[in-house]
Amino acid sequence: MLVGRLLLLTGLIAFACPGIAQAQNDVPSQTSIQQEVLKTEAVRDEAMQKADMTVLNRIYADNVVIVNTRGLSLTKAQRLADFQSGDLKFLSFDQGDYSFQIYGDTVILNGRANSVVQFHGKVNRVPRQFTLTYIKLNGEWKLVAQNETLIDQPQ
Amino acid sequence: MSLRRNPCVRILRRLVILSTLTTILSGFLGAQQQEVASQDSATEKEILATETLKNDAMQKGDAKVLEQIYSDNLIFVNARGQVLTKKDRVKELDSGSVKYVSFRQGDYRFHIYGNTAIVTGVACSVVDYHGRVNQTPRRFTSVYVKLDGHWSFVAHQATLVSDNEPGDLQYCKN
Repeated sequence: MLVGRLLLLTGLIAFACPGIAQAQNDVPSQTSIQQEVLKTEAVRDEAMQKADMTVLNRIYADNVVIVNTRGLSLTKAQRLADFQSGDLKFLSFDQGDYSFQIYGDTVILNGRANSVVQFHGKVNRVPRQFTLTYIKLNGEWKLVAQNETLIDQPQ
Repeated sequence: MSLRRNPCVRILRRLVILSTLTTILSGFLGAQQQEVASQDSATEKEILATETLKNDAMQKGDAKVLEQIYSDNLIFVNARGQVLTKKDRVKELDSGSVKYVSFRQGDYRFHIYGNTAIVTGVACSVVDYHGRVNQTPRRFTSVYVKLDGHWSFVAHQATLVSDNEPGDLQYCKN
């Protein structure tokens, strides 16, 4: 009798709360996570080229750690200042060859950049390999770490 | 007018209740913040212990320990910008094609996001890499993720620090 009542109660709850079953189906697939992060990355790439501070400020996490190709460690404020002042400018933009590692709300995005960049007056044309770490915080993908390394060209 | 109906008394009573609630709430939030800070500190200690084990294993070429710590899907970008898998990296250390002539790594900074930890640091080790000796300091970013109760090394990238960009490499000078 107790079991019957429990089953009835379970049925009633399931009927009254269809969102429960829906929520279980809503667990994002690896593909949809990749698409979300790729979209955020595309938005960031465009914002970097336009020096769009509002967008960059939204995507970079407050505690983002950036290691640039010269091995310098930069904060969010320093990186945004580079874009805003024009000290960091893209003369051409080419980035891709992405690979993803997904661990729940953490995504490791590896890729290669062939963009030509002017950094504090010095032009860099050497291709770079990079690792970006995105984490979903309060429902939004935030860039929490970035490390770039020049690709050693064969002699 | 009775004391109970006096509007000033009612306002004062509400203010007392409000301040009591505020005190309780701020105490609760403060305790929560302390708890988060304490959890982060414990996480840092756990990761530092794993990092120490890994560093020791790298110097000894201990493939067994490295295989435990490295995630199966590890992506390792070395200071030459080459992308290595777990298998590539373990093989390098196990075969002796990567050898540490001296080992010095530290100046760690941690950023903890739940089960993910971002660790940055500086390496001043002298490395014999496939017959080429590298003495240039490197700055690195490592990502650890807690998988099945263990901190797993899921991503790493190292970048040479340019001669003309000393940055804050005091660590290597001490």
